[in-house]
This record gives sequence, structure tokens and C-alpha cells, in this order.
Amino acid sequence: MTRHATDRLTVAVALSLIGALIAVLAAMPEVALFAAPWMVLCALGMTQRHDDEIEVQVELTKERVLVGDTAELVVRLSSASTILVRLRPEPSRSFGPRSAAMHSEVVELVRGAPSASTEVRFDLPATVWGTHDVGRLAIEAVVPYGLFRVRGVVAQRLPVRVHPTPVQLQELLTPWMVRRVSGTHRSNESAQGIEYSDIREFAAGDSVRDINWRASARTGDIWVSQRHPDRASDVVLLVDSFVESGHDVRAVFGLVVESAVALANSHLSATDRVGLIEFGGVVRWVTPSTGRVQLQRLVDALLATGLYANAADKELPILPSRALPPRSFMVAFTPLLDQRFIDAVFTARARGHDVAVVECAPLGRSPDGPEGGGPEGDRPDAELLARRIWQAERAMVRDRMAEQGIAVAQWDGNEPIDVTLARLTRRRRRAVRVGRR
Amino acid sequence: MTRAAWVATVGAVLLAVVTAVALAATATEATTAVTPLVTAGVCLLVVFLVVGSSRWVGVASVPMMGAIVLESGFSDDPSWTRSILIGCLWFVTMEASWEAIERRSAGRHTRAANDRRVQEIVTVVAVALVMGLVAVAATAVAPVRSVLLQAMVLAGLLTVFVTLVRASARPRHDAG
Repeated sequence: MTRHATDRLTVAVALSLIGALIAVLAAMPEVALFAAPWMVLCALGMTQRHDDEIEVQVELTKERVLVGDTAELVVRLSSASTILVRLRPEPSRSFGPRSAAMHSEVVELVRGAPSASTEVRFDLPATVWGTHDVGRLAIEAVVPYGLFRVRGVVAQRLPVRVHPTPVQLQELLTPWMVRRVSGTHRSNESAQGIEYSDIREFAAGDSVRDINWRASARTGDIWVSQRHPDRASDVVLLVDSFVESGHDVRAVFGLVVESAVALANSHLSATDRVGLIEFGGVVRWVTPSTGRVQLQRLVDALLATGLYANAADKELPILPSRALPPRSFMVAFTPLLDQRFIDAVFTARARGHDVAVVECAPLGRSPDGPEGGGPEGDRPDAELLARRIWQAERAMVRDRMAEQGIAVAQWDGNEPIDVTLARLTRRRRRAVRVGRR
Repeated sequence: MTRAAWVATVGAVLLAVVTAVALAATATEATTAVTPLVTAGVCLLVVFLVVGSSRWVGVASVPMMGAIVLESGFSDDPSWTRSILIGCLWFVTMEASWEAIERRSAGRHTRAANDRRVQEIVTVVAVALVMGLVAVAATAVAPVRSVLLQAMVLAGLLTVFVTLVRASARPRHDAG
């Protein structure tokens, strides 16, 4: 905390001295009386005993908020002196632009008050998802009579997790393999269910309720209807957290997080178990589970994901079966820029998992996007050639994936994620047919 | 600007006008010389209030003090009470101006903080008034010839009153 003289002190001292000098030198006591309030102000303000120590405690009422909500910051202050304190929260830049809501607040602290501390609450509007530090606070204390002020900053680590608002998808991705648990995905097998599958002749043990009366009346024999059961599945989100130089990492990873949260939210609503594997500089996972709490776990893990520049030769490790259950449906979110992640996708497919890829490439940033850096006529030939080779290589990667039964759909963040997932569903049907050949 | 800032700004301008009118209206023989000075003082205050300079808004006090000097030089029997009353009025004007400037960027003030500021201003004005009136009474009973002696008397009074105010300024919880 540093102590400064205020403008009030400068003016008060100047007027007091001028008034006193004129009064004495020109023999005009009226001038001294005119300046008397400033003399009194100087005398009272300068002789005030004051302790600059202010105790500050900062805490958040909620550690997690959604985008659009407000994070409530509670500041408790106590002081050894009577003092006016001006507080202004200074959250990290990543929290979003400063808004009118982040106003300062002037409070009075009373020396040794029995209530011990004064409490001030600030509502900080959360506009950008992520993990942000909001524990920084600018403090300016004005000592009694306003002749001096004490400035300081309280920097306490106080992270708030701002979760992206989950989007409810119109249609879910249909996994090809399901669990033996009731859910909402239509299974290909025939058993008790809702959706009609086929008819067959009545056999001992069949329920009378399954008899297809129309077919039985037409043929003269007893026929029963067969149905597809509705099953739940295990969905594992495979998130690419490799850093590739030369790209807007934050923009790409933002798409990864938004699409992963949308998919997790929708599959959890459909009683699927959803897990997460972060594959990048480090490998971390969240075991598949169901429920709203699982969504919070997944979002927390996504927000805590660190982007690491890592040159190590990495492979998808043998994960415990509870992290990556057999027959689980893996949805990879990746900009398809790092070869290690691409290899991991192939590895997962080779291990028998049903794999789909959402290629997160923001418009104008993607090397092969329609706005990938200006008109082609302005570019040197070498750059154009390099660009075409790059495009060909990426097309090859997608073709190789399609051959393995892995569908890929691009998402640039401009169109709704539903449109991308519908495209992915169409390609999955085609890719799986190709992959099964 | 917040509502409180508007109130403080308008209050400061009104107080400045009232002080100027009071100063010009009560001037005995130098009205024609005093009026331009107090007008300049009010104009300076308004300009610096609009600009938002808390330091330069104090410059507006110089023409006002000049008017007091001018009027005091012309008058044969200057009034001490008038000087101290106008001084207190102008002090409140300056405080209102400072508050108006501070509140443009300072955000929200709690009620306790507002009360605290008002209490400080009232204390200063009260001490200055009492000190001035005691000085007037003292000189009326026993007029002193030397201005230096008058200054010493004023300084002594100031010390006494400041000591009294400090002694009376106890922590609130002690009182309650």
C-alpha cells in the first residue's frame, strides 16, 4: 500500500498559506478568516492518526457459473482506522471486457467496529467461458478529511469456472454398438422394444402380446412381431489438446470445447454414459458415467485442459477399461493437425471402437478453408503449391479414415453444430458400409 | 454520470453562485471591482468542474480571495463575520466540486460513506465558524493593534479547537 497526497491537500495548504501571508503582510485579518476553513481542514486532516493496514478477504459465492450468469464476489474488509475505502474488482482479461457492472464501490470502515468487518458484494457478469481468475482487487483508501489516499492491489488466486451454455442437440449421433442397458438408441438386435423389426413364426415361450394378428389371419399360422430394443451406449469424447504452431490455438480449441460440451449434454440427457479422454501433452480421462453431475465433471475437465507444445512421440496408451469401455462409441474432436492424434484415432478404430471425427476448423483459419488467407492471385507460386499439397494431404487423411469406417465432418463454428452432426451421421452410414467391406 | 454526481455538480454550481452573489451584495464600497472578480471565480469553477480537474478547480478560489482582499483594502471597517461566513460557504462549494469530480468515476457510495463525508465537512465548517466567532468576540472585547498578534491569537484558537475535535472523535463502538 502506498500513500499519496490528494489534490485536496495541495489546494488546502496553498490557500491557507496565501491567506495567512496576505493577512500578516497586508494587515488584513479578513483574508485569514476567509481561508480559515482550509486551515482547519489542514489541521484536522494532518493531525489525524491513521493506520494504513486494511485486512481484505475475497471469496466467491459460486465457483461455477454459466455464460450469461453473474459471479458474485464477496469482499470483507476491516481496518484499524476509520477510513473510506474504494474497491474495484479487476478480473483477468480472459474474463471478458470490463463492463459497467464492474463499478467501484466506496464503503466506510469504522475503526474497531464490533461487527469486525464490512462486506461488499460485486456481481461480475460472465461472458466468456473458461477458467478465470477474479481475485484481483484495486483498493484506494481515503483517510479522514480526504487529504491523503492509500492505494494498493489485492491479488488473491480465486478461479471461477464459467461453463459454456450447453446446447441441446436436435438429433443424437447413433452408435453402432450399444450396452445391454435400456436407453434411447435403437439396437440392431431383436428383443423387447418399441420399433418394429420383423415377424417370425410363433415359438414356445413367446408372449401372446407379441402375436401379429394381421399376419396370422392372412397366413393361417401364428406369427409374432419382433422389435428392436432401445439401448444406452458409452460415448467417449476424445479431445485433441496438441498445440500446432501457426494456428489460432484458442479459436480451434474453443470449437473443440463447445462441440464436446454440446454432445456430452445431449447424450447425458439420453441416459448414455459419457466419458472424456484428453489426448495431448498429457493424457487424462474422466470415467464414463451418467447424470448432471457428470456434465459438470466433463466441463471442468475440459476447462482445465492445458494446451501443451509437446514434441514427444505419443501413442494412445492402453487405458483402463473403465476409462475406455469395450464397444464404446468414440467421438474425436480435433483440428486434424497433429499426426500423433490422427494415429491415435486409427489406433482406437483398430481396437474395435466405433469412431467418428468432428474436425474443428474455424473459418478463415483453416489452411484449406475458403478464406484461408486471401485471394490466390496475390500469393507466390511456391505458397500456392504448398497450399495445394497441404490440402491433398488432408484429403488423404480423411479418405484413409473413411476407408477404416471413420466418418469426418468439419465444423467451423458458424453453422449450428446440429447441421454438422447430421452431416456426420450421413457420412457414418456410408463410412461404416465402406469399412465393413 | 451517476445521479449523485449530477446532484453534486448542480449543488456546487448553485453554491458558487450563492457565494458570489453574497460576496458582491455585501461589498460595501468596491462592488464594481469585486463583481468581475467573483464572476471570474465562478466561471473558473464551472470550467474546471466540467473539465474534471480537482486540482485546478481550487484555482477558482484565488479570484474569490482577491475579492476579499480588494474589499478589505477599500473598506474602513471590514466585517470579520462576513469574511468567515463567505469563507465557509466557499469551502462547502469547493468540497461539493471535489465530490462531483470524484463521483464521476468512483462508482457507488454507500450511505455510511456519504454520511461520513458530510460529517467531515460539517466538522470543518463548525470549527472554522466557532473559531472565527470567538476571535471576533475576543477582539471586540480587547481589540489588538498588531495583525501578527491577531494571527497568533487565531493560531492559538485553531490549535485549541483542533485538539478539542480530535479528543471528541472517539470510535463509534465506544459511544454505543
